[in-house]
Amino acid sequence: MTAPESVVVAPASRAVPTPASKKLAAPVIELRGVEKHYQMGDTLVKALQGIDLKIRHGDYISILGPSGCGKSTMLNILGCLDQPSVGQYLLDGIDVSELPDDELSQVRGKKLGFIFQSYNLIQQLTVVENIEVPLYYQGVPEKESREIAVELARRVGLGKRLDHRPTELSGGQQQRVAIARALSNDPAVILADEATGNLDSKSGGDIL
Amino acid sequence: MTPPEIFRELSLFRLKRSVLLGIKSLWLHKLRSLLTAMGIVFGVSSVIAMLAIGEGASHEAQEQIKELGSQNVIIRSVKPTNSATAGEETRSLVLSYGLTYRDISQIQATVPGVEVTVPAREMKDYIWRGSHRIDGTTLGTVPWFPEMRNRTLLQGRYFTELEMQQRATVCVLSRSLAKHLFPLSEPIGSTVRIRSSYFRVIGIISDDRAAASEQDAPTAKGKGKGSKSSEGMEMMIPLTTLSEHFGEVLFKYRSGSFEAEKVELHEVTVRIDTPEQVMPAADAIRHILERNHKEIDYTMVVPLDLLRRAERTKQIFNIVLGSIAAISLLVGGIGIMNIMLATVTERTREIGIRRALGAKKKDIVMQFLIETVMLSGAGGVLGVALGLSIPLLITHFAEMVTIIQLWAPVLAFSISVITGVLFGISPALRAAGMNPVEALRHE
Repeated sequence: MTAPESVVVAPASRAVPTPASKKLAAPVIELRGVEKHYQMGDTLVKALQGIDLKIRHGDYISILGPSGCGKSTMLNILGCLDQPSVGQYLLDGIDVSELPDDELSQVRGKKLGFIFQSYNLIQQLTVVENIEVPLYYQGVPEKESREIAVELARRVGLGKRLDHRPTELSGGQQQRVAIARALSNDPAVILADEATGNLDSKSGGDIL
Repeated sequence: MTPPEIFRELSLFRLKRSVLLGIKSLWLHKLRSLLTAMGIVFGVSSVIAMLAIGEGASHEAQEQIKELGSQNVIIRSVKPTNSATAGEETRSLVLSYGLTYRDISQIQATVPGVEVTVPAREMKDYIWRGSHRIDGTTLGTVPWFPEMRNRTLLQGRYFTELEMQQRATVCVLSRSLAKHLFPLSEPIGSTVRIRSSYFRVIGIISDDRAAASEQDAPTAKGKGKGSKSSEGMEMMIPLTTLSEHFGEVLFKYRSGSFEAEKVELHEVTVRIDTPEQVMPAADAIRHILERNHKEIDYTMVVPLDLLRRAERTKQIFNIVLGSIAAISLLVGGIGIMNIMLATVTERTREIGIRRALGAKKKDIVMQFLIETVMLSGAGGVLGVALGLSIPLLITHFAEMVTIIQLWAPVLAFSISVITGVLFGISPALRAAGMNPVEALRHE
């Protein structure tokens, strides 16, 4: 693959100050000797080896590398979708490397915002409803979550397309919905896979 | 998990939103959802409809049997069909057969627990009112006949024991006979004529529904063949009066032909003290009759026996019905499961997204389980609607009695929901068990 791919890790900051944004000094992400191994038939593939990483609040980190170097594996572990085989991962002070599945889901819903490379919007839901999905799993009451979603849609410039479905939107608009969705639960960290790839340079700059 | 969190998990608002989400997903594939629910629709509706029809049929049969009296044994004389004796009898010109007074006294003497017997003779002849005649049956019987046979007096009174002793010329008409003989005027107090004897009408009694349908099977219901003219046209007079006026030998004149019969008693009703003794007593009576009669010139009707047989038939019917219902719901459930498994595969990516955005395994399980239950529940509602309308149509067009019991639609609907849960568990677990990383990568 020719173009270098990037994974962006950016602790989010919203206009409203949150408890998370106050303790600026503590690292929001800390990896200690993380390794990830896969068993492929008879051979053991070591996708990640000895990773130590500290990311502080407000940091904006891009991870670059050629195809197959382990960026996706890294992102999966950082996004709590997968757990390290060896080592420790502290997310906002919580050790998530050994958490059971339900609590891991809870952490994802509370602390993380995802912007996927291929938007990954739910096709049968409208723009607002898509933005509301993380709030739904956090148990935010309907009225409140609707207000947050509408406000976010407005901020990404989709105030007039609240009830449209993803198929009725352009690629750029879909990406902005995905961004609004990643912001809706007020996460400590936003993980983005080629976040602004489909936007022109101006709107891409606005988003970042 | 802390109590407030548990409360949140169960909160109604979450359920409401899950249901709305389920409706949305099902609505996206309207035709597919409709076709999938069809299995349940037909399963549920056939259960309700068949239950209503079966219940109606057995109710009617049981009503008729109960009218005969569950503690009674009814014995009737029947003209023997044996050609050998018939040839022999033609020589004497008088055909002699049937129950005799001797049978009755023997039954009374030897069978324990026999309470009362109602002897009755019948005579088929024209019943006249002025110049208007009707082909009917004249029944010579006893004063306690209506009570024993559960016939209700609609108007006037029945004849008394005194009138029976005095051989009074009084009569009680069945409702349909009264309606035909006296379409406009008041029957009570008027006179009717049989041959050369006149009788004063003193009462009107309900029709004998049971005997009518028993004779020509429940299907025809008295409508078949030309029997309409004499069916239910009954006139009751004291037994003694019948013997005095018309003798022991009954003549029948029918359009040129002539027939003579000697029958002592046409019908006897025996009441047994307690319900438990009905069956043994019936056996004892059968033995006495078998000894007294060389050929079968009588029939015995044991209403209790009929009732038991009707109940047994209903039981078998219910078992068959239950199996059909179970099979159709099984087929419907498998159809739903099949579609839900396909849906889960189709929506792997959505599952991955939801998991990444904070959905727990149980959230995913709930989502798909609710969707399946919605599907089968909607099928259940449609099925109940269809199942309730089929008996109404049958009652309207086929004039059959159908009875819808309240529990039938409730039961059918709950079974459809249970089917949804049972067959939804496997697809839902499959959806929840997916690895989020792989689900997200799924195309």
